[in-house]
Amino acid sequence: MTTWHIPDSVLGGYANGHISPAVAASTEAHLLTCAQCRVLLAPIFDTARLDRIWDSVVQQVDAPRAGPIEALLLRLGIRNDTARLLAATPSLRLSWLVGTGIALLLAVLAAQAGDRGVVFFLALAPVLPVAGVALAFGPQTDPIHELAAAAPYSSFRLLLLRSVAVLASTVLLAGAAAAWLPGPAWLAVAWLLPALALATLTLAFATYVDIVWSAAGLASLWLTIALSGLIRGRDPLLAFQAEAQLIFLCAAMAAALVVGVRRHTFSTLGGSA
Amino acid sequence: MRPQDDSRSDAELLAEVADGDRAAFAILYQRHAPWLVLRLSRRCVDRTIVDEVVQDAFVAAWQGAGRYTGKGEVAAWLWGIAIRRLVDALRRQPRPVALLADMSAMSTVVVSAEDAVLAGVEHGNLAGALNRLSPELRAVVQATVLDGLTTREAARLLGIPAGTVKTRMMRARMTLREELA
Repeated sequence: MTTWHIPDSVLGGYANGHISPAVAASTEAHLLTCAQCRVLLAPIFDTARLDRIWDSVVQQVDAPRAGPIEALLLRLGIRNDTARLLAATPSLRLSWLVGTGIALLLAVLAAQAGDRGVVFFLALAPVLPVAGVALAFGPQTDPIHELAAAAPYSSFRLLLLRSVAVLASTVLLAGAAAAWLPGPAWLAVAWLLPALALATLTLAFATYVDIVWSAAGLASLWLTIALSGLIRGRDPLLAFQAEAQLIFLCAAMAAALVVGVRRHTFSTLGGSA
Repeated sequence: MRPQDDSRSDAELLAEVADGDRAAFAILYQRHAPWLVLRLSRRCVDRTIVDEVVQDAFVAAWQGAGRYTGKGEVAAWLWGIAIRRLVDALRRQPRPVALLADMSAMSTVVVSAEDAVLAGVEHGNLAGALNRLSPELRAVVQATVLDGLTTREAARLLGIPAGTVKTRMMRARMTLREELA
C-alpha cells in the first residue's frame, strides 16, 4: 500500500468537479485501492441522499422474488401490477398447468387407441380452459381474492385479463398435445372453436349465476353432447363436423356480446352480481 | 456506526454478505456508496439515474457476493458492477442523456495551479497531454482505459457507434504518442 494520499484540496475538487481530467483520473485510480482516502470522501457527501438510496436497496433486497410465471410475464413487458394479479390467478399456477398437461397427455395416449379415444381427447380439451377460467374467479380458490376485490382495478378488466391468460396457456398446452393426435390434420384443431365457445358461454352465464355453477353446468352439457357420439351406430365425431363448428362460432360470438353488454354485473368478483 | 470503526477488510465483509449478513452489507455500503455516487456523477449528470444505478449495483452485489473471487480490490469489483449498470441504464433511456458530464464540463473549468501541483501528477508530460486531448477523445480514453469498459460498452455509455470509439481511441493514442515523443 502506498503512503501517498490525495490532498484535501484535490478531494474537494474531485467532489465538486473543479479539477483537471488528468488529476481526476489519477484520483479515481487511487480511490480504487485506498480505503483511507475513500473514507475522507464520505463526510463531503449528502447523507440524506445516501440514506435514501440505502432504503431502496434494503427494500429491493427484502422484496419477495417474483415467481417463475411472474418473471416470465415481466420479461414479456407486462406491467408490474398486472403481472402480479395474473401470476396470482389460481389456474395459472404451475401445479394447475402441470395437472392440465398430464390430463392432456393421458387423453393423447388414449387417442392412439382409435376413433373413440380421439373423441375422448376432443371432448376433454375444451373443458380444461373452462375449468381454468372458473377456478380463476372462485372466491374459494383465489389466494388474493379480498385483495383483488379491494384493488382499484376494474373487476371486468381483471376478469378479461385472467380469462385470456388462462385460455392462452391452456390452449397452448392442448395445441401442443393435439399435434400427436392420429387421423386427419383438421382433428388436431377441431376442439379450438368448442373451447372458445365454452369459455365465452361460461363468462356469459356467469353474469346470471355464480361462475362455478355456470362452468360446471356448461361442462356437463358439453361432455354429454361430445361423448354421445360414442353411442353405437352414430358418427363418433358428429359434434366436431363443419356444421357443428359453425354453431360453436355463433355461440361464442353471441356469448361475447352478452359479456360485453352485461359487464357491469362483474362489479364483484366471483361472477353473479 | 461509522464505517471505519469496523476492523474487518472489505473482502472479509463481502464473504459475510455472501452468507446473508445484513450488518456487514450495511458497513460495505457506508464505505463504498459515497465514492461510487461521486464517480458515477462524473459520468452521468442525471442524479436520478445515478441513484438508481448505485441502488442496482448494491442489490446486485448483495445477490452476487458469492461470485467475488477474492482477487483484486472489492472497490474495483463494485465499480465494475456499477459502471455496467450505468451503461445498461443509459441504454434504456429513450434519448441519450447529457453524458460526458465529466469531460466536456471539465475542460471549461480553470484548474488552479496550486491544486495541480498538490496533486503531484501535473508535472509529467502525460497529464498535460491528457488534458490537451479534445473532450471527445478524452471521453473515449476514460471509458476504455480508466473505467475498463469494452469498445461496445463504451459506445453505449457515450451514445456513439462502436466504430467511432475505435477510431477516436486510435486518434487519441496517436496524439498522446506524438506529444510524449
